[in-house]
Amino acid sequence: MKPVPLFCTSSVLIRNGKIIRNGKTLLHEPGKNPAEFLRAGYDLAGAAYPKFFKMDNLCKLAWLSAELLCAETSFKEGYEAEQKGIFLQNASSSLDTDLKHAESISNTEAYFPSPAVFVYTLANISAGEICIRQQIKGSSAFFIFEAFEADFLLEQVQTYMNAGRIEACIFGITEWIGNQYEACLFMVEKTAKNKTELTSEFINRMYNQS
Amino acid sequence: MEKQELVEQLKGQIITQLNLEGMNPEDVDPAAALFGDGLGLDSIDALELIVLLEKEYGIKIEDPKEGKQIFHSVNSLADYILANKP
Repeated sequence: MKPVPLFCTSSVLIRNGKIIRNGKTLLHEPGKNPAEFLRAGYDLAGAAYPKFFKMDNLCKLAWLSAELLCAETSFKEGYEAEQKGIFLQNASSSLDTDLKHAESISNTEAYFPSPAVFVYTLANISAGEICIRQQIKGSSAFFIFEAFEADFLLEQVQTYMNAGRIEACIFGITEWIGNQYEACLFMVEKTAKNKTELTSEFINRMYNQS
Repeated sequence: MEKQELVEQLKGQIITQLNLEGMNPEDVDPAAALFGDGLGLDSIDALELIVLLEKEYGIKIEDPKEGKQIFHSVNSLADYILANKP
């Protein structure tokens, strides 16, 4: 079967205190610590979503990236929920929160594990938070690799979209460990005029921009 | 501790423990429902409140069926703490 051409209709890169959407810098706050930067990003997104403040840092970053990615697009309302998918990856899984949870249960004299922390000790919860917000009920996966694997992710997207399992999807990397973070998300659709065709070269170029 | 003092303390603890961003103690109506239409808390918040009760007040809820009544509002939570504190 001939592969269906796929198009990137939006991209977002968040790294080093900077948010870039479709090649345009939306926020540059290099002096802010990561938590303050996330808050500034939330304010930039202009969303009223109290649950954001209950998320761990990985989920906040993933949620914010997707929020900015989907803004000014018809991703949320333009497809049935079952037609939309999400494929994410990172290297540290949910280790940042796993360590916080481990610390909270290390003292047997004061053993009070927090349910609100424990619930985020899985990386794919971040994909779930995006699914809730962007109404995604199609295929989803969260992969763990040491480095960004553009070719692998592209193959996943192509497989599911060529098979007709999904018509649009979000994919990319969302990483948070300690004070290190980065997110690079792409929106992919089958039908999009005057948009960039999705290739691994394009994905890597967007990921490596600064 | 008087009930009014405990109610004010609970409001602050709930806001902090549940990360209710942008909310101040005076925004919390002590008679309003904590779940559903009130503060709109969810099931994870309910678990956090159970931990708060045990950690801050040394009270462990033995019968889960009591939870709905205990956590109905800040007032009902304060009443339960005053009646059951060690």
